[in-house]
Amino acid sequence: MFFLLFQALGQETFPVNGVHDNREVYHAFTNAKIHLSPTETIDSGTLLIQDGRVVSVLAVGTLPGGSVVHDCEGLTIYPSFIDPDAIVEKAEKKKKGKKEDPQTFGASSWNSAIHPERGYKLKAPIPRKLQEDWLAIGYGLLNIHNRDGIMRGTSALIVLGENQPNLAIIKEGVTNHFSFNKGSSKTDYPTSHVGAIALIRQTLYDAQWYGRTSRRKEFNASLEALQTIDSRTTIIQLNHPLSIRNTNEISNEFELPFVLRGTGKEYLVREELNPTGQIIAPLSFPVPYSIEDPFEARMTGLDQLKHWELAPFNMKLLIEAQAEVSLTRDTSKAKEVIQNLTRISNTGVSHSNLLAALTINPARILGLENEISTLHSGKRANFFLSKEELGSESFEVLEHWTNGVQAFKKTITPDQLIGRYNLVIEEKEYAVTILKVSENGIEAEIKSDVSEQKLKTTVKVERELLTVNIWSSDPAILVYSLSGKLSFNQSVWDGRGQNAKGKWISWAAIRDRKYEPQAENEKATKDTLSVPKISFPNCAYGWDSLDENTTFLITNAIVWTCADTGRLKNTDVYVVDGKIKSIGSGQLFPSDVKRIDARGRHLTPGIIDEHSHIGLRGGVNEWGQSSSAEVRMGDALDPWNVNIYRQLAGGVTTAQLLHGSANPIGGQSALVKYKWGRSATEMLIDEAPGFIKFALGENVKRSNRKEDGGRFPLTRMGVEQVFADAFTRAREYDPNERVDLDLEAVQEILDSSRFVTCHSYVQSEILMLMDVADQFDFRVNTFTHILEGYKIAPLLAEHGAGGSTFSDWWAYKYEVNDAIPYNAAIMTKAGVNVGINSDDAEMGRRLNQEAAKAVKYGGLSEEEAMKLVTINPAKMLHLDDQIGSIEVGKDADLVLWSDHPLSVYSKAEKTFIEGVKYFDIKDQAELETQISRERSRIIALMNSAKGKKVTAKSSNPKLYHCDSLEDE
Amino acid sequence: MSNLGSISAVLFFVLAVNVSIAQQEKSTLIRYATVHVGNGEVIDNAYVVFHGSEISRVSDANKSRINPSDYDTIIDADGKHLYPGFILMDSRIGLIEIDQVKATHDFRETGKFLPNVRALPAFNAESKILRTIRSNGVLMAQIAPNGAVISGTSSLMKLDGDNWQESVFQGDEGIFLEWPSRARMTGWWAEPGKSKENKKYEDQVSEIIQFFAEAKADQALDGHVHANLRFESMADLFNGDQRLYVRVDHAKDILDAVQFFRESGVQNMVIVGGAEADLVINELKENDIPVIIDRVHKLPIHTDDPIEKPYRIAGVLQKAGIKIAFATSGSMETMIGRNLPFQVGTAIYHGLPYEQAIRALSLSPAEIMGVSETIGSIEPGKVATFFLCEGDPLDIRTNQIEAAYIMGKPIDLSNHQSRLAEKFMKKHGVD
Repeated sequence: MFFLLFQALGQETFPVNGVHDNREVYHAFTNAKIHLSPTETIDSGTLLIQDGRVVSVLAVGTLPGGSVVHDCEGLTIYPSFIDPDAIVEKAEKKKKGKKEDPQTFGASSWNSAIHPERGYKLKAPIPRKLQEDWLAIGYGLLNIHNRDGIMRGTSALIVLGENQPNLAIIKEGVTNHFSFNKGSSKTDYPTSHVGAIALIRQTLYDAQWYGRTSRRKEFNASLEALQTIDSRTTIIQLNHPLSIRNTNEISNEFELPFVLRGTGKEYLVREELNPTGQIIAPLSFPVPYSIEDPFEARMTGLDQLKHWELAPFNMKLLIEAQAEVSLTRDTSKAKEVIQNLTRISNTGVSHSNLLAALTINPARILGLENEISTLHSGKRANFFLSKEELGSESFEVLEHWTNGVQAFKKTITPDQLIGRYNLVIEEKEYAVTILKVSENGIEAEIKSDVSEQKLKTTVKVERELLTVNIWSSDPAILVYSLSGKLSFNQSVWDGRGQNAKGKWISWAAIRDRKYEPQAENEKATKDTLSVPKISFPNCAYGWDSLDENTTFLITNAIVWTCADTGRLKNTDVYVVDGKIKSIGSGQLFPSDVKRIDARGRHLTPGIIDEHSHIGLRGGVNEWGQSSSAEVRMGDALDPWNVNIYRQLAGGVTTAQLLHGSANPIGGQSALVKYKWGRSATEMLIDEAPGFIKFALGENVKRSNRKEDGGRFPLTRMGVEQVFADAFTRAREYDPNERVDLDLEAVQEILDSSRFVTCHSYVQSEILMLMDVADQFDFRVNTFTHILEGYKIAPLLAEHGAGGSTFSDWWAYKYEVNDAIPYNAAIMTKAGVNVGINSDDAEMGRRLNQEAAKAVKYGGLSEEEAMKLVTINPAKMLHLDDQIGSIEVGKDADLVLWSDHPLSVYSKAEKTFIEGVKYFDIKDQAELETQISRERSRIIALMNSAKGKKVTAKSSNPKLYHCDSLEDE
Repeated sequence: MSNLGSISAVLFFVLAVNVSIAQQEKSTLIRYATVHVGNGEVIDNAYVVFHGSEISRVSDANKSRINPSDYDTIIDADGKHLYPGFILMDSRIGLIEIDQVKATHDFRETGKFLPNVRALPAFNAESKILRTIRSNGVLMAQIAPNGAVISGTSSLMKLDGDNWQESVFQGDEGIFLEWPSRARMTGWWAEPGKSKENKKYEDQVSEIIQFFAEAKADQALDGHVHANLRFESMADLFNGDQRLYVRVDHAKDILDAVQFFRESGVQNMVIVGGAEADLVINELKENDIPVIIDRVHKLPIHTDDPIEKPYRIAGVLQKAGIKIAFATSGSMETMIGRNLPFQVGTAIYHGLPYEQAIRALSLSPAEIMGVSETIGSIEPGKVATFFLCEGDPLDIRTNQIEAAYIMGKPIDLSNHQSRLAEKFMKKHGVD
């Protein structure tokens, strides 16, 4: 099956042991259908090659003397497929063990996930079996890199079929490879997705500095390598479709175009793709889940079910979004590649687009379109002969030629044997039916008109030779033992054999043309499949379409303005274009305005959660260093997290999504509105002020971890010094030297262009940070948690710090021993601007109840209590000119409650953000029915799908608290 | 806060008299309160009389006459509400003080089958958390170990007393079993990861069945050479004096647990958790199995579930005729015990009728634990464990408990938190 006929040829620089053997003959492939390129096809022509290159492709013409002629009647010739990101080795996983000392891995980056200087080295030929596996499905050229680390290094392009590295490698250093996954790196940093982004950015800034400065002391091979990054394409491996936002931003920041290596779900973010951008899509699709049991089916989320159905449409949708798509085999098996190409084709992707995705598009990524990818004169002679067209179910590679020599030939396609054969032996007739051909062998049955006996048969095929044994029902009796050959396109078998008595006889069998095998699958209809519904977001509770109406009138509500006007009865609130236009009663409004009768109901501003970690992915703690001011939580925003919808159902419209509390200087916050169904970019509040998380106490000193790991600080003494050091260095920081993203963010605090939200518990540490702030002349904007704030409330008020606290949490760690539920009320009464926050996905959806606790504990008035979750946090977030109260001109972020909003018996019935309704209790029953119906529909499809299935996995989103350390 | 000190202080003075025999016990009349009996009924204007620790009379003031001079103490409660002391199930009160300080943990023993391990002697009656819980109307709590396969033995405690012997109401009333799950959850409470198929499920279930079969057989064994403390401690499960509490959530796992129960010889089983109990209602009803809802304030276990399913399930089960009670288990479970009334209040909007909610906080848990003869409702012959509230104790704003009695003894409703608040309000000159 596998030929390496001329492997010694062509290594021109090598001494020859023996007589030289230069072969200059032509090979002519005649009468073939030839796809010269995705857009050029010759229905019947000749491909002429010589010395590893294409000489010509002609419809008619005379062959030169010295041609070996291959008659390709009925066959199709394609240029070899190119995998721009072939996986031939398993990815490195992080191994447990001792930490790496940055000093020990040579003159390169301090971070062992950064090694752009490493090239892929083909040290030994790829094992034959593996090569054959690729060649047999059309792949002749593989672009391979070391799949490890964040800046992984460069690739090498390998042609299959060659056995010597010198011949197998077409080029080294073809493409650069980046990812967001640190792989086997044992450097602590980064521990999160946001950290990986920061590391890429900082490294690229370092490279700019390295190339520019005249005063550098170090030689750094990594930064050196990045000086020439522009000379080749950079392929970045996405860890999540939402990371496209990150790659776009990095790309713009550094004018560094990326080719995206997708996850297969990029159809969900196709509007964020760079128009005309290049993307490599995987040919692997999810395997159906095994969910026959309705209880067990509940473990699989609708998002997973929908993706199973939508995965084949990825390429079609990307092409519609103007992307130039290449396909990579990813980790799929050979059989799956052919099946999935068919499934893609059935979605309506044209043959030419499909071929382009396998040939010229990847070649363009590699910058080698003049050398490979088509069969134009002068290009490398890499091509294969196939039965049927690409995209057909029976597409099959029969021969594969690379560098002008035959590298693969399929001898027999056993499944072509399926059918009925009329077998004649000793003038008796039998009907042999080949039922199934698989890796386990051939399944056959035999019937005889003459014999009463029930017979059995075994059939074995080896290349084009055939062995047939016929047994009686008594397995000890071998009736006939036959050996023969296949001929005439396998439709005729004939040969010699022995009967039970040992007598030699002749036999023959002819295929019964009338017999039709029972179809295992219903034949895929040739009609193009229509794209299943994609909702916003594409999971449970996603919208079919987004509500765009932003003008309406709420009448007769009890309005909690959370402003000086207090609580107003029987009041109309008029919203125009998402802003509050008027508040009052007895006014006249346009007769055609949409009205919401709110008689007996309460209207409040949207609830603002000053402290949350929902809707973030890839970890909320970049704890690898004591300061991670450079990381931006906005980079990890996950608008598809169902907890966003759940918060809306609790009336929450705005939140600060914070970095965790594992280090004294955490990361930059994301200020978002929970616009469920919109993109991450649309959820982020435009021009929101910058915020950063600080943390004090037990978490940052690693008190509650089994091992402290030795990271400074381990005490509250050390915590103070982290701040003193950071602010001292930030004061001295000059961005004109080397850009330092960490110090840049800290300097913004000193410039009062970035505000601090500081995780804090005991009074000593709160006093310490205010002291540091005074020394460095800035103000701590907010202390969050601040459970001992009541002890020093007047000092907080004097400093001007806000306090965003829990209503009644305590007893979870030593430092909350003196936490009391009266905290919010006492701080408020002492003049502090106080908020109540969640830090918890469940509590976040009933912050109204949490606010009510300040009435119970400490006796705040109901209006003051409501402010704890509306205007007060708005002030902390410096957004009080837009949100937090019901006042004319502000955003129409509103919640209509069934009852008194501080009551446990009250329920948010409608939640609006900027006038758009994102939650309506009236929709719930219908949504729940829709979810069930859609789940059942897809599960039925899955259960009818053939093949291997996998056990379902729950798709619950991760929940993060301040303490959460691990990412996925 | 300021309004709760006076009345209880006076009462404390009046009643802090040593009474030894019933005839000499002082009597107290609470009149004109709206009494939420605990059995689903309400008496709008009632007389409630108790002698010592026992309720002697509950009657409708509109229909009966009473001579006030017959009583040592009279409390006028016009416009106020009297509720039976709420009972928190499956709690770790007194078994832990600080979640992240291991030295304070006394609720999870090492080993696998630990029916003989008892929560009772580990109970710290002086827990600071305990006092913050009873201030909100939760006057009784079941304390239960967790972890292992059989976690250990639970007890019903009064949230009053200076040591566990004073605090115990019903010792060793049940045994807790952690049913394995087909889907093994990864991560920890704050970060539930993806679920993984539990490949050991069948083995784990077999091991439980085997253990119970041997425990049952052991009861009938004629004389032991070596006593087996584990099996000995399970005797009451098989004679009906103890309940088997089974922690289980997923529908299919619940079905397995019910199947196990039917064949185990155990007389009473209670589901604890039961996140998907609504899917197997018939099986629970047929086998008369109550459900302790582990927590109302929690997220659905599946992304696609109705977003407020944990708020709804109490109403669904109650309407289906399943007996329910409540716990606050899960993250920060112990301190959150004080929010039990509000968690149950949240279930009311989502379909649980109000008086049935009160029942699930009083008479139903008493019935589940087999002590409804003496506690769980405000009825003659039962202990005087109840509280007086200005408003509705299930709603946060109106949960202002004025006085509470445990076995007829008025209890101090202040706690270290209210004292800290007083201290610093005074310091800062605010009120």
